[in-house]
Parts: sequence; structure tokens; C-alpha cells
Amino acid sequence: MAAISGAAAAGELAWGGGAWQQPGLLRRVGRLLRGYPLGVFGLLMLIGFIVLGLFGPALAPYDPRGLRAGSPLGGLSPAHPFGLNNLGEDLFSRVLAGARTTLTISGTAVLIGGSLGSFIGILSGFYGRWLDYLLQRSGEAFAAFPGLILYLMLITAFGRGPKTIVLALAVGGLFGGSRVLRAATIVERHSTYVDAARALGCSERRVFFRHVVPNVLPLTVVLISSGLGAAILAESGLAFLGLGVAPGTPSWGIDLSGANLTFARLGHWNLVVFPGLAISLAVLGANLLGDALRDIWDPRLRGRR
Amino acid sequence: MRRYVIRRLLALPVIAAAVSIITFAILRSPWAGDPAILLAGQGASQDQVAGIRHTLGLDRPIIVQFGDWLLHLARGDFGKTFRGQQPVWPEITRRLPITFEIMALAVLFGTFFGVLYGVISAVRQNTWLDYGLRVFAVFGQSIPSFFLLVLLIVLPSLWWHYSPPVGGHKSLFAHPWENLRLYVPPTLILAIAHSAILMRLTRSTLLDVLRQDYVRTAKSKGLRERSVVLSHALRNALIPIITITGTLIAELFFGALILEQVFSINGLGQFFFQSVLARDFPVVQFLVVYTAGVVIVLNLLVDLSYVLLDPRVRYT
Amino acid sequence: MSEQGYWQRRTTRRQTLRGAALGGLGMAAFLAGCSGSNNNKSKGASTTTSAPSGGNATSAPATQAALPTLTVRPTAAVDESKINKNNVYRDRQSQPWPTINPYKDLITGLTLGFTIYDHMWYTTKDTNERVLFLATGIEQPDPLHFTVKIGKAVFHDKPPTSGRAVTAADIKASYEAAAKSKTISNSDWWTKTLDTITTPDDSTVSFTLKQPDAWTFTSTNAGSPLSGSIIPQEIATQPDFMDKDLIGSGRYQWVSHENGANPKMKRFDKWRVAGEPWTGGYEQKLIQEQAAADAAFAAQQIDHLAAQNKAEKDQLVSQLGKQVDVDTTVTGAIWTVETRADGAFADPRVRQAIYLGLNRDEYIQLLELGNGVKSGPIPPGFKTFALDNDELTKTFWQFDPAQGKQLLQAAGFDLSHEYEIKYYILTDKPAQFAQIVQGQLQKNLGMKVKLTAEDFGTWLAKSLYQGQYDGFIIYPTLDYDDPSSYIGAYGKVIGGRPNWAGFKDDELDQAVAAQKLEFDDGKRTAMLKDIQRKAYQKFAPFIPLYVAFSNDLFWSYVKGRLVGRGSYGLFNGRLYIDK
Repeated sequence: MAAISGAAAAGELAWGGGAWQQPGLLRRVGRLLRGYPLGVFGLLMLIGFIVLGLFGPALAPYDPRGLRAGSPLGGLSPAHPFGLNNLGEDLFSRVLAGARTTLTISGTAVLIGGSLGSFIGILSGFYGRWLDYLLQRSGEAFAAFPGLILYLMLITAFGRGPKTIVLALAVGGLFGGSRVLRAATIVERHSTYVDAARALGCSERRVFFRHVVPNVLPLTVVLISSGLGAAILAESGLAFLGLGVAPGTPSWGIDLSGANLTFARLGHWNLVVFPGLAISLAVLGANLLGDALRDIWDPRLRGRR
Repeated sequence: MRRYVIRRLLALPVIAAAVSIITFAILRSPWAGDPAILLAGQGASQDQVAGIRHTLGLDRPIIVQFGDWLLHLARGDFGKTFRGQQPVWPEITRRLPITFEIMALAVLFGTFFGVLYGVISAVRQNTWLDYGLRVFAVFGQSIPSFFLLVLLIVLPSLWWHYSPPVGGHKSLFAHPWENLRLYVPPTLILAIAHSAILMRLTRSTLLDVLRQDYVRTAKSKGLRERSVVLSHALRNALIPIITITGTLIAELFFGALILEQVFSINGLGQFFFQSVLARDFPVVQFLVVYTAGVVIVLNLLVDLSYVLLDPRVRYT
Repeated sequence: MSEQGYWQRRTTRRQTLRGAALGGLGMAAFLAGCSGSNNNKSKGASTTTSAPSGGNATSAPATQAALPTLTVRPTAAVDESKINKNNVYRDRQSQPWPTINPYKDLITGLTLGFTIYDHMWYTTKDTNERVLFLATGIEQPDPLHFTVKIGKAVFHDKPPTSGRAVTAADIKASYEAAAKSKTISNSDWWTKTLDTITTPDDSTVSFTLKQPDAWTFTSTNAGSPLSGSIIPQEIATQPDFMDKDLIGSGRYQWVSHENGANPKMKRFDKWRVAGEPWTGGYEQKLIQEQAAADAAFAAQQIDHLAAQNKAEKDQLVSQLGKQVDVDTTVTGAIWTVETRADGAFADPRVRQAIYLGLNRDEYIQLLELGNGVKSGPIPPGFKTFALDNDELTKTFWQFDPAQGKQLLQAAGFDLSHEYEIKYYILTDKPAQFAQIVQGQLQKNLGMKVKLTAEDFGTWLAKSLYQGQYDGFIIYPTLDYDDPSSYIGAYGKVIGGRPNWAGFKDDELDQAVAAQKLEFDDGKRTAMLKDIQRKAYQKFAPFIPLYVAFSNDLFWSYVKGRLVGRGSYGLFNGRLYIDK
């Protein structure tokens, strides 16, 4: 039934034969846009940040690590709309360049974590019994591990750097995602159309790939888009604590802590406010998009985690 | 049902053992950094470092160290910290109330405001109140808590030359006013993200429930709206709320850590963080096993609460 | 989903969007408003007002800040009878002590050394004098023996000592305990040089050494404010006693603490210098956060504050005005760029190029906001041992990137290889310092350099001690109490490990070993200066850049302070609170 309700919400009819023509593509997109203005807004914001991520360093008026671009700790001015930090680096350029760092890391982490987590969840939910027990308990064990230790282990094994952060974030989000997909898979497994398929003599494998998976897969997209916001927050949180990318790299989280924080307390509020706003807006965009996608594909998901 | 609980609980010692073995191995592996060098500090000679390493017992083979740790653990002796050579257990129990209070306040505020706003939002659906609360929820989920905490420090000192109270932790029982003055503003901020998620969840679940037939029946029977909402609808919405709260509590430890870091509060989160950085193994080991246990028990409690809340749920 | 629900949701979302837009506008107005008020209210230094337009880099001033001079405030003579000696001096504690046992934590041990415990003597850092404390005379008949005669003093009136006299046996026990302690890292002197201690009578202590060491009496070695603390023998033989209570013979007695926080001490009336100390007690208040400490200082809840940087100091000064004194002292932690002496850097011309390519002024301006001075291998705080500014300007402090480039070319240095600067992650400073080094190497010498960050532990154990870095490693040296520790880097072996930069120069190695054996102060001073000159001639891979100033703010009612004398100023019984 999920397939049907999902389709209905998107303004299409999924069954009923060929008597009813589906509206043209443009019409469908239009309806989507009008139906979910917030989601579109979020998508646009996110696209904006992605563009920033791709071209940011080129668009930046100054080298984000260029020392003494102006007088250190200078305030807001037309040449330096966000001011300068204590090394004289232009904050506006740093915020633009920071988009790339943050989005690359969180984006990759969420793609890997989301797909891997979904895969594990589907397997777990579909096959059940010992596989389910094993996967879920080991997932619990992983989740029980304080993230910090996990991260430290990864640092010691793989060294500091963006790759380790991606790994840590992906692994951290794995279990949560797998639980969602597992729950959905279990529901699908017991639904009538699956029983019908089985009664018709379909093999388990066919049932799995042709029936269960396509209905559950949209959840992966939802997971990834909802997870993006959380991943950005986690990445900047780690950077804030000094555990993320190396200090000096333009990164929103780093610019919110350390020397910037010390000087912000002495009156230079711009040093922390603009990077913080950047994080908030990026996460906002990701969240709005994630919510809209969730509403499109499974409104019931809102009531379940 | 009982068998289910036992099966879940059986996992606890297994997981605790696995977690502690893995942690032990990783921490004492050659790549993890040498606590003796860190303790000796920059400028210490090779011999001094060796001396400190010997005092800490780090020059014995790993198996011996692990066995020794287990033996002590069995006797209830959690070892001595590397920094300052003090017994681990009192160090932890001293700081536990602080972090516990932070997390408890955050959960309390988060749940209270989250559910409250969710109910208001659902009952007054599509009014300005509803929109306002939903905007708040969306922003609340997007703005990082550490950003707000930083603003909480930076802005008041900028505008009013106000700074946080001085003098460290005051017990809630001995000096309630000073205690709350210190902890309430930052925990309110921590609670924002939590309450935002809860608010939206409560709202949507409640909306679903309110549309159900039995609610219409209750209303047509003449029951007051408030009692309908609270006793009938809300109870059914509780399952997802409890699930989320369970997950969020685990994430809250990280939030408490950041709070303690930004506000320089001497709690368990900070202690753990600094012990990890300083490779203070006994502390880290103990806390890892402890938190693993807590999380597992928490998950089990959440799953068990489903049975209480929804008679249709049954575990075999 | 019913049709009705679908349409309902569409309209609600549109209205929510409107609400969000309004909220966004509100926030923008809010921020604009507060930026306006900020510019009016800004009390900090001129740096908070908007910068002049244009992206012109401001040039670094050529002159450097003057070295702070020694002062004792107030300079007028003090009438002791008019002083209120019961005021308590309140200081700030930035971290709780992990333990109160001085043998188990460095910071604790040092603080207690300056207050609870007494010592036999202290060697000043700037003038290299041996100031006698409990000792009444020190005789050194030959390099391997010295004898100390002590005066009269009593321990604090608490069991198990209950106010008894300090005897030579206590000193012997203390020194032996310190040498044996493995939880506090001591200098090698305690294990490699100190041999035996005997006590011919109650007021004579005789030391026998295994090998001669001209620096025996400095505060790194036998004169250490930590390890040289005189502890009663009953306690010295069971150091764990000090986990619970502390007994010494110093100016202050231990009163209480709250789990390592807020230590309190009160005046010891039977202190060996009659009439001192001039305060009724010494306390520290735990204030972990710097902003809170600023506020507490402004509210006169603490009498002393160490400002973290010049901007903070300036702000507090402008806020509090004339009632606050600033004591500026030169620290001894030299920010250093260490390169290599092997591989591509074996040719001394390469190293010379690097010397010539680093512009010290930029660091002082950017990192310290002008609050520092350039330094040679021995920091300027050691007035006797450091080279003088003229000589340093011609040698270490030369900045000539053009010549540097030529030298690199002449030596055939491979500019296409990307080297790395390794730094550790603790506070922001090492990262910012490394960034400036990278910028200068790239701009001035055309080198390709990348930054590599590491955890402090890994950095210390592998990159520094084992010399595993491809090109450069940066760090501040420790603030040593004697000059010989600074030149230790020029030996073939540092602290038992092979030279970190692979610098193996026989002449310097022998010179470093020899200066330890030269007991004539004048000759030894000359040897140290000679070592520094040779280090430049050979372009040793340890390049000293600058030292920062430390800014200590005191309320002006804290009188009698000794400024500019390093740790010696902390042994001050004549500090008083004039309230």
C-alpha cells in the first residue's frame, strides 16, 4: 500500500490501466513545485551552497588563507564584508571557501553511510532471524561506542584528515539508517502484495528485488537528504572541538572556535556570527529539502523513526 | 516476553567485553600515542619517559595489562588516573552529578517544550501560532547548538558586560539559585534542537491520531477537547516520542560535552574528552565500558516501553 | 491521503514560508542594529573599528618593542608598621589541580613550591645570582662535592611535625625522594649527576656528585622550586601522605581545597623571616573561562589576572583605567622553526637561505599584536647570557630573501618538491604560526610547502623526538630556567635521543659538553656566547624567531611586587595588599 499512497501524494495514479493519461512531465514538476514550496526553497539553498562549494574558492575576493589581506581584526567594510580575523585573513573569502570543505565531507559521508546503512537494514529486515540479530546487536555495539573513541580509533589507524572524518561520520550514521530501513522492510515483508506474489509462486529472490526493494528504496533517498543536515552539524561540531580538519583550513566549524572565539569575546562578534550563520543556513536548506522529500515519498514516515 | 528480555540482556556482558577489549587494544597499540611522553612533557629525556612508563605499568605485555585491569575490576578497583595518580572512581562520581544534571535538564526542557509546542501546534493547526512554532522548529533543528552556546557567551558580554557566574559548580541542593542560574540558560539552548524534533514529531503524530475515528467518537460523546487530546490522542503518540527521546539522550552526551567545553564546566564530558586527548587510559577505559552499558540498557528500556504502551506489540 | 489533506498542507506550507521570510528579515534587522551599537560601545583597542578601505597589506614596523625593565613597586620605602598585614592575596586558578601532591603534578608542585615549602637557595634567571634562602653558606671545594650550611627554621604546626625544627636530615630525605620520584619528570641531574647526600650534623648537608656539572645550582637542577622543596622526612619517605595534607616550612601553611580547586593557604607566623609574609594568606579561585576571569578581576574578586593577549590586556586597561598596573615580562618560550641538517638540507647554504627568508616582525605583529621581541638562541630575558641586539641583528635576525633565493639556487635546492611543516594541535597558535612560516617560505624563497597537523602526542613522540618530518617542524621551546637547556639542541644527543634534526656537528657537540664543566662564571658565559655564534656560523637547523611578552594585570593596591625577575619574583614575602 505504500507504493500506492506514495504515488497518490505525488499527483499520479499508479494503476488503473491505460485509460487515464499521465499528465506531462512539465505539469508534474510544476505541481511538485507548487505543492512543496519549502522543499524547493531548501533545494535552491542547497544548490546555492553546492555552487559555492564548487566555485567558492574562485569567487572569493581574497585568498582564504592569505595573511594580512587587510589590517588584522579589521571590522566590516565594503572591501571586507565580514571583517578579518587576527591573521588578517578575509572572513568572507573564508566562509565561501569553507562551503567546499564542509559540503564535500558531509555529502560524501552521508552518501556512503546512507547507502551502506540501507543495504544492511534491508538485509536485516528481509532475512530476519540470526542475520537480523547479528546485524542489529553489532549495530548496537557500535552505537554504544562513544563517538569520540570511535573517532580516535580511526584517527590513530588512518591519521587525521578529511578521509577519516568521512569514515567516522558515515559509520556513526550507519546504525540509525539501518534501523529505519529494517523497520520499513519488515512492514513490506508482511504486506498483502508480497503475500500475493508469494502465493503466485514468486521466488524469495524475486519478491525481494522486484517488490520489496523498489518500495523501500525511496526511503534511502529520504535518509540521505535528511541525514545531510545532521552530517553538516556533526562535521562542524568536530571542527569546533578541534578534532576536524586541520586548523587554518577554511572551515565553518573551525572559524567558530579557537582564536576567533577568543577575539569574539573581546568584541569582534563578526568572527563567529558569520560562520555560524553559514552552517545554520546550509543545514536549514538540507533539512527543508529532506522534509519535503520525506513528505513526498512517505508521509507516514513522519510519525515513525 | 521474559525470554526476549533475557536474550537482550545476554548481549550486555558480551558487548561490554567486546567493547573493552577493542578499546584496550586500540589505546595501547603503538599508533595510539604514548601517555608517558605526554605526561613527561616536552623536554623530558628518554630515561625519564621510561621511568614514567614503568610507574604506569605500560612496559608490561598487553595481555598482562589487560588481565591486571580485569582482576582489579573484579575487586571493584577501577585503577588510578595517569594524570595525578588519583583513584578513578571518585574522580568520576564527583563529576557525574554535573553532567547528569546538564543532560537531565536538557531532556526535561526538550521533552516538555517539544511535546507542549507539538500539542499546541496540532490542536491549533494552521493558525499563526502553529506557523510560528513550526518555523521555530525548523530553525531549531538547523542552528548548531555550539553556535548558540558561543553566542550566549559572546553577546551578553558585548551588550551588557555580563559574564557567566564565577566560582564553578554549586550543588543543586546547597545553592539552588546559583546552580540554576549557571545551568539553565545553556541547557535551554541544548534543548532547542531536541524540542524542535520532538515538536514536529508530536505534531504530526497527533494530527494523524486526531483524524482517527475513535477521536471523533470521543468528541461526539461530549468529552472536552482537552481530555480527548491528552488522555486519548497523546497516549498513542507516545511510542514514537519515547523512541526519539531514547536516541536523543545518547546524542545529548556529545551536546553536554560541547556545553562543558564552551562554558568551562568541570563535568564528565570534559573529563572524558581531555582524558582521551591525554591518553589517560584507566579513565577512558572505564567510561567506554560504562557508557556502552548505559546505552544498551537504555535501548532495551525503550523497546520494552512499547509493550507497556501498545498492547498490540508483543515480543517472542 | 485524502484530497482535502493534500490541499490543506499546500496552503499551510505557503504560509509557513511567509513566516520564515519574516523571521529572516527580523534576524537581519537585529544583527544590523547590534553592529551599530557595537561601534559606539567598542572599548577595545582601535582594531574594532572598520579597517581603511582597500586591501593593502599594512607593512610591519621596523622597530621592535622595548624590553621591559626591572622594577619594584612602589619605589618609595615602606613603613612596615602602617601596612595591614592581614589581607589575603587572591589569585586565579585556571584548571583544578588533578592532585595536591607536589610530586604527582607539575603545576601543583610549582605553585606549592613558591608558597608552602622552603628551599635552600634560588638562582636568579636574569642576573645568575645564587640567592641564599634557608642556606647560610655554600662551599664547593671541588667539582664533585659541595656542602651547604643551613640556618634555623621550623615546620608548620601540624602532626606529625608539630612545629619542630628543620634539620639536615629532612633535606636529605627530600632530595632523595625527589630523585626517586618517577611521576614528576626531573632533569637528568637528579639521576645522572646526584650521587649521595650525607648529614655530618643537624645543620650541614653534604652533596656528592657522580660527574661535574656547572649548572648544579640552577632551578632546573638542585635549586628547583619543585624538587628542591624541603619536606619533613616523615612525609618524604611516604610521599602518598601528600595526597591528603601538606606540611612544609614555607611562608604559608596549607589550609584547604575543594577537590583540587580553590586552594587556600594562610600565613605561617613562625616563618624564618620575621614579620613576613606581609599578607594574611594566599588563595586561588577556580575560574576556568577567561571571560569570566576578566569579569572577576574587574569586580575585584581576584587581585591578579594573566591576560592571554594584548587585545585582552588593552581592553581591560581601557575599561579599568589608572587603578590597574600592567606588569609586562619577557617569556622564555622561543618560537622556533626547526629544519633539517640531512638530506636536501645538508648543504649549509640551504639552511642559511632559510635563516634569511624568515621575517620575524610579521610574527610579532600578527600573532602577538606587537607584544613580543625577536630572540636569539638564548632568549633576551637572560641578560647575562644572551647575545646583544647589535650582534643578533647582523647574524640571526638578518632578513634578505633575495640573497636567500640566490643561495638556494647556488646549492641546487630542489624547489619542485613539496616539503611539509609539521605542527601540533593544541591551541590555535601553532597552527597560525605554521601558516605564517608557510607563507613566508613560499613568498620569500619560492619553496613549496604544505601544512601537516598532528595530535600533540604523536607529534611529540614521532615527529619531534624521532625526527620524522620532511622539511620543517615548528614549536615554542619551553620556558627554561637556565640557559644551558636552550643550547642542548646543538648536541649530537638530545635527552638521550639522537639529535632531532640530524644535526651532528663535532665542534658544537664538544662545546656543549664542555660548558657544563666550566666552573668559572665569566668563562662559562663566554663559552655560551661562543656556542651561539658558532651555531649561526654553521647555520644550525634550529632557528629562533621571537619570544612573546606576558601581561600580568594587578590592581594597584597589590604593592611590593618584583617584576622582571622571573620565578624569583614569586618568592616574595614583601608583597602586600594596601587596603
